[in-house]
This record gives sequence, C-alpha cells and structure tokens, in this order.
Amino acid sequence: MQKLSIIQATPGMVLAKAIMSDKGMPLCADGTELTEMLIERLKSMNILVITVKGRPVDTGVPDKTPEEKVGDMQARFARVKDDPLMGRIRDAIADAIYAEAREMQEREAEEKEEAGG
Amino acid sequence: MSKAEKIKAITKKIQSLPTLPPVVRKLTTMVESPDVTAKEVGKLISADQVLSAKVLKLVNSSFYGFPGRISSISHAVVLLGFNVIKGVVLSASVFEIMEKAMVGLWEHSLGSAIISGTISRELGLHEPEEISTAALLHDIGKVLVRVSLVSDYDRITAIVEEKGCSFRDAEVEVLGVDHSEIGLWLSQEWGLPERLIIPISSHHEPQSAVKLKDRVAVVHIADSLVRAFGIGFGGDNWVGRISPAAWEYIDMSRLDLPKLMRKILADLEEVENFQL
Repeated sequence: MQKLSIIQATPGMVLAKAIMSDKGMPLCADGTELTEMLIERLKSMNILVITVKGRPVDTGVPDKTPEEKVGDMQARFARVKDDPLMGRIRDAIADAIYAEAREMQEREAEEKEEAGG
Repeated sequence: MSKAEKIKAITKKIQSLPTLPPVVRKLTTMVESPDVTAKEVGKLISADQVLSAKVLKLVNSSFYGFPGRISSISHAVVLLGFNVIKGVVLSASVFEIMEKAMVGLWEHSLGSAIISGTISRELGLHEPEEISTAALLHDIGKVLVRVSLVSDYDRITAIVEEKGCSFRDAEVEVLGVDHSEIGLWLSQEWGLPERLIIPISSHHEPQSAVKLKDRVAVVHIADSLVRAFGIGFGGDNWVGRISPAAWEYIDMSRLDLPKLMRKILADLEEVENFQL
C-alpha cells in the first residue's frame, strides 16, 4: 500500500482505500482500478492524495518507520520539553502517528489476505 | 530607539515593497463601499483569469470546507462573503511572491491555515474561513524580510544555523524587531482589515491582543502545531511554546486532544501536494 499524490497516479493502479469527499461522502470505493478518465475526474474534484495497493512508485528513499517519525517529532520539542501542556500535545501527536501506522498495517494485512485468497 | 523608530529605520532600507496587483487595491475600495453587489465583485475578479483560477482552487480546497463545490467566482463571493474573498485574493497574490522564493514558508503557512480551520470548526467559532485566511498570512513579515531586506535575511538565517536559536530571536538580534511587528506595519500599509492585522501582529504574544483574542489564540496554537507535525519550514526547526492562557481562552481543553491530533494529521496530508 502506498500513499500517492494524484499527480503520480497512473491508469491501472488499484485503490487500497476509498476516496471520501470532505463531507464524508464516498466518491470511489477501495478496489477501484484507476483509469485516465477517473484520474482526471479526481483532479477536477480537488482530490490531492490517494492510497493505492502495492508499491507502484519507487520513491528512491525508504519510508520512515513510525518510531523514526515519532523520534523526529520529539526532537522538534527540545526547547519546550519541560512544559506540561507541550508534553501532552507531544504525546497526543505520537499516539496519532502510531494509530495511523496501525491502520496502514491492518489494511496491508487485508490486502495480502485478498491477494492470497 | 523605540520599536516605532526601529520599524521606520527598517522601512527606509526597503527599496521596493512587494506590490499587490491593482485588482487587490480595487477590491479593497470596492468592498468598503456600502452598496457594492456580489456581482460587481465577481466581475472584477473574473476579469483576471489567472487570479480567478487560483481563487477557485483555494476556495475549493479543504481550508474553506466547500471542497469541489464552488465552480464560479460569483458563487464564491456569495458563499464566502466579501471579507473572506478579499483575504483569498490577497493570499493568492502574496503567495505568488512567496511560492518561488520560500517553498518551506508557503507550506508552513498553508499548514497553519488548515489547522486553524480545523480547530475553529471543532470549537464552533464564528467565521472559520476568515481565521484560516489570517493564519495563511500570519508570517507575511517574513516574506517582506526575505524579499526586501535580502542581506539582513541572510544574516538572520546564518545566526539561526550557527546558534540553533529561533528565527524570531535572530530577527530581533539583526533588526531589533521581529516579523510580527514588520507584518503589522506591512498589513497596515496594504490596508488590510483589523481581523487580519491583529492575528498577524499578535500571533507570538497572544496576551497582547486587546481584541479578537479567540482568532489570535487559534493562529498562535496552529503556528506551533504545524511545526510539531513537521510540515513546512517556518525559519527554524523548533516547536514554540503555546501560551496556556491562549489555550484556556478558547477552551481547548474541551476537545479530545488525541482525536484532534489524529484529525489534523490526516488533514495535513494535502499540504505537500497543494500548489496554487
């Protein structure tokens, strides 16, 4: 599973995650195969980010692990690390990063299961 | 030297002020007239096709909460109101100056606008669109330093790198004032409304605002959070301390913090891919 900018989308890629409008309306179900026309339509609807199955685009750099992301984030708090409010915010962001990673993992597991079965 | 004298000395050094396109000036006079109609405002903006395209792109992005639904400028004017449209036109113009020179600051500003919109909507504040616009413009003082005071800007960035201090501390060291004070001067010079000027001038010291404290608090918090999430570059890598008084003023404690951070993390995905 890979998150891509709509600019990187090409026909044949398969959505790993449904595309929702900002109001929560589903625009495109997961499992949909992208076509030239669909990509143009998504662009015209200002959809900027999509999630597709597999890793069709080689970014050249390995993605950061959630642990690395959290480490980078905590380092940015160096100047306010003893502030109680900032500490709560830092922990909440770390939770958000891990939650996002878990969600990604679950989807990837589902994806593998589908591919296997 | 007093602050006012320092600003005066700085403005004397400025050879050329980043100029706004004539359409922004016309728009400013127009929206102040009591009997202007949405049709007239729409016509003025539509006359500039490039600008129209940018305005439509901005109003249809997630910052304003009407994604993909506004297809004409006149519709945008009716839905968002004169003040927001003026801010959007202004943002589109300012960022034309900024986008090329300072991609990092553009992303920082865009991210602040998204977070401000999310927080304002979650709290049910009035006119979240206008609060987003204020956040989009909160660092225009930095744009002025970068564009009009190039050698000072280079000294500031050198100090940040050398000392690992904040951009703002380095500004004070070099210029005697910071970008919020320069932003105040520039926004007055440009004739911006108070609702944008006050968040621009008070975003680092929210307690100094005597009016519009809720808007100032939101922009102040968003400026720090966008850094925490590592989006864009505001001149240094540090997360600034959020004023607990500002946090309490808009009653942030009533929001579920982990849930809010998850929402912001998802909302921010758009920043890197958004271009005007």
